[in-house]
Amino acid sequence: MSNESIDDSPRARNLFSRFISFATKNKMLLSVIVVLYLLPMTTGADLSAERDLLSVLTQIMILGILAMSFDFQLGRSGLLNFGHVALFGVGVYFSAFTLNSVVFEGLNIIPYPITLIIAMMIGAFLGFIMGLTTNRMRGTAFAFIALAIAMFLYNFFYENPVLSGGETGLRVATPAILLTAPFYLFFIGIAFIVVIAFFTMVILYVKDRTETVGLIFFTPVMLSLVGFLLLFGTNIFGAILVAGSLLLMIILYLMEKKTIIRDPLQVPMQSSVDNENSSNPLNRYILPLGIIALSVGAFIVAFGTNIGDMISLWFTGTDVFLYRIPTMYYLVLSCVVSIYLFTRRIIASPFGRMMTAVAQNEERAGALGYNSYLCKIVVVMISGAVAALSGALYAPFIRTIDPVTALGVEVSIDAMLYTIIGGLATLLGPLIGAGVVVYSELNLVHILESVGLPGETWLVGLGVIYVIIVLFLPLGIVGSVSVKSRSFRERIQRLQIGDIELGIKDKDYWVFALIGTLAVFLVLLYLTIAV
Amino acid sequence: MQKKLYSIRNSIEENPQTKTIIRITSILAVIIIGILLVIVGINTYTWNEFVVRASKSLVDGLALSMLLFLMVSGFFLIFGLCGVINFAHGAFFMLGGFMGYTIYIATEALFLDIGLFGTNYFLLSIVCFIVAALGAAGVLAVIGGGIEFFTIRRLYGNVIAQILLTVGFMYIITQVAEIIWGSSVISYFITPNSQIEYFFISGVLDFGGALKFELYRIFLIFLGLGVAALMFIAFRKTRIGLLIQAGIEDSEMVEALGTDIKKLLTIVFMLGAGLAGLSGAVLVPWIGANTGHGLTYLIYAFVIVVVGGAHYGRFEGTFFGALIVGLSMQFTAYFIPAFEGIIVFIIMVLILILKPGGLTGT
Repeated sequence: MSNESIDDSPRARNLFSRFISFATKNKMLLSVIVVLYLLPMTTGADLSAERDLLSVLTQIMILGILAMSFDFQLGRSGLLNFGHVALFGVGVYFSAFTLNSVVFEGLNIIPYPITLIIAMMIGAFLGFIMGLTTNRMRGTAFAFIALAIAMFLYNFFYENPVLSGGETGLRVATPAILLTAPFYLFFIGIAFIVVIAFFTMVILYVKDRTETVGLIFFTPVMLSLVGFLLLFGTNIFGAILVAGSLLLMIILYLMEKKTIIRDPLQVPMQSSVDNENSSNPLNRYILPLGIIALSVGAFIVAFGTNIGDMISLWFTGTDVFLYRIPTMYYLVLSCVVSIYLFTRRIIASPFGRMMTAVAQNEERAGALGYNSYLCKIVVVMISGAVAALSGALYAPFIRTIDPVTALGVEVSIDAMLYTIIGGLATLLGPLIGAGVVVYSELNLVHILESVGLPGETWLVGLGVIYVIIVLFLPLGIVGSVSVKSRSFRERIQRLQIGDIELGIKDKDYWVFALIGTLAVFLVLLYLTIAV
Repeated sequence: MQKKLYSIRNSIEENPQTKTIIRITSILAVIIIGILLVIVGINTYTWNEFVVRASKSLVDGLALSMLLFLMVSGFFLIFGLCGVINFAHGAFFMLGGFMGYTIYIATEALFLDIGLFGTNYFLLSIVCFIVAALGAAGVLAVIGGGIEFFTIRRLYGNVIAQILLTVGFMYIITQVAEIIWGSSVISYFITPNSQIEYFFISGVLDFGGALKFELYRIFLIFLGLGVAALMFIAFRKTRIGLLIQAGIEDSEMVEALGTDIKKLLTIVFMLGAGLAGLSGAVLVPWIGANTGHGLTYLIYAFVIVVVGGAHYGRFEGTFFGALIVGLSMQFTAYFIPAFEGIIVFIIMVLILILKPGGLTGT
């Protein structure tokens, strides 16, 4: 991001301004994923509670991808699909065959990333077949044709013990590439890119919000990051460096405030970078670069020991299985983020509007000249590719697969539950629904026992949770909360502390997202240690 | 290609005669395929064995279809009038089985204690059976009515929330049953667990050779037919039956004409759950009471409704759907056991491809 490269080539300039506009538009996303990308660095080359939590989070995210693909059909285009598990199952079994040397020996040579891509293609192809039936099958009939396809596959694997491994199920090895240091380092690199993007976003926010609110908001964020580093960093210097970057931010904030006040015309600043008037090099280049350098350095210093330990594992060649959980987590997290961005992009595109039109009134959409049949096929294909991806990630995660876990009807019902509980047609809803359900499936036994109830009633507890959610949050967690928080938001925008009017706007909510994610992580970690 | 297909479809629509010809040819094709299958069957097995297998599967299939019909008509009533896809229906069926089993054992012990029937075990068993079947239906009706009254009543019109709610109840019922009666590995049957080790209709009808039929399955056919006939008469003759039929056609109109539709919905829910309980209880001497039955029979219910076209509001659709599913399952069980789990889906796909609305649908 040096000065020359920005000014000299228009293409680099274009890329840079794209980066800037992405950072300013995705404050919430960046502040959530920066925490998620930092989590695996807190664990080094030993077994710890953080590792257990990472494993749980990985499972939640894999099933979250499945739920997102289900929501893409039901929420966005109104296709109820009871056979969604077929799309998931082909991914599971394809990835299992490439990682298992017993069934098909030839498939062993395919590297894991290519396995993921081929699995997505297979899923898309099966989705294409399913989509072909939408021409004549409407509503319930489509759901059951898809169910029939799923049951065919289930019976095929169930009746062929050679393929499905018989009673014990098929054992799946961990992909070799996941156990290598370069793969780990690649994701650590991505994590640092995310950190840089996050701090760029913070700097732009500091330059933009020169009101008092700005100071009130970014200070607690940086302080909570200091606390995070104090708790999980291997040494104290990282925390000190972040505190230093907080100091630089406050200086930047004060300088920006001065320039604004000095400006007689009070021109509202659209984007600080593009504004040629503030030519002061100190707050244009030196301070921002200093902040970024300090904070990236802080994370390197704080987690350097952990990363170094992991890399040394590869050179000594012992205990490479310790790579499994962090790399798997990073891989799945990257998939979730890219699918989230992809889905958001599609929904905003003309095709997304066509999907909505077809879902709401198919005949009218047809009369307006849209090919609703083609639209549905494409929707099921995309959804199939995503579901197969989640299946291909699930196989090495769960390690032993049998037809029930990979192709049982229960998986379809579960995907439906995640989606409905999280909220239909909300982007984050399926992920959060999967989080709630999977976490309670894994831990409800312990929670019930710690309260004093018998642990075997956990499924009853889960059913009661569903009933309560339906009765009190009929639009799902995300849907109902966003409806109910509307009035709360208006109240918070008029919030005052003493005489100072805070004037909280939409662009300030990322602070709550970041602190909330950190708090959720701490609570989950506490529960993992306590239970 | 597209144009050509279109013109053929057009000409079919224009000529009513072609429609009749197509219908006749399809019936002929079905008959020819059936005859071919019979010939292949006789070729594979000997004539005698073929007859044994065919007659056994016919009896079993009819018995199963009658009982499936009872269960699915409960599902259909709830789906047709209330518009609720009841995912808990399989669980109702399963719980009905356990209720029937428990009530049978309990009443038998009670009657033995007070010595009402002396040593007339036949009468004792019949009375216990009737009490068990009606008791199971009653308990399930109360449970179903309670669920409707306290929860589903608030959610009419919100299909997605109803699915979530009924799945929640499915989990609750299944898990409670598993806690009380153990996992799905164990099946409970009446005869080995009863004190007198006697069930009134447990004999075998022997026609010589291998041609033996279990009496209970033949009894089930008549029982199922009887209950079905009672139900048909009730729907045609009683006021509430007519109201339910009218409500399935157009519930708003029924409400506008002054019927308390809320009360009707509760009654229908009780009726549906009660039918599931009744069929579950009656099936116990054959398939036993097992906590794993919930999901299996739920899927059968789905398939029957879709195959019969009952989701378009045709009551007789459930009857034909149940007949097809029950018969085809038992025939494949006796002839091609590898296809037993999958045959209903093959048939469903074929029927939906030929008639997307199901057998009786549009």
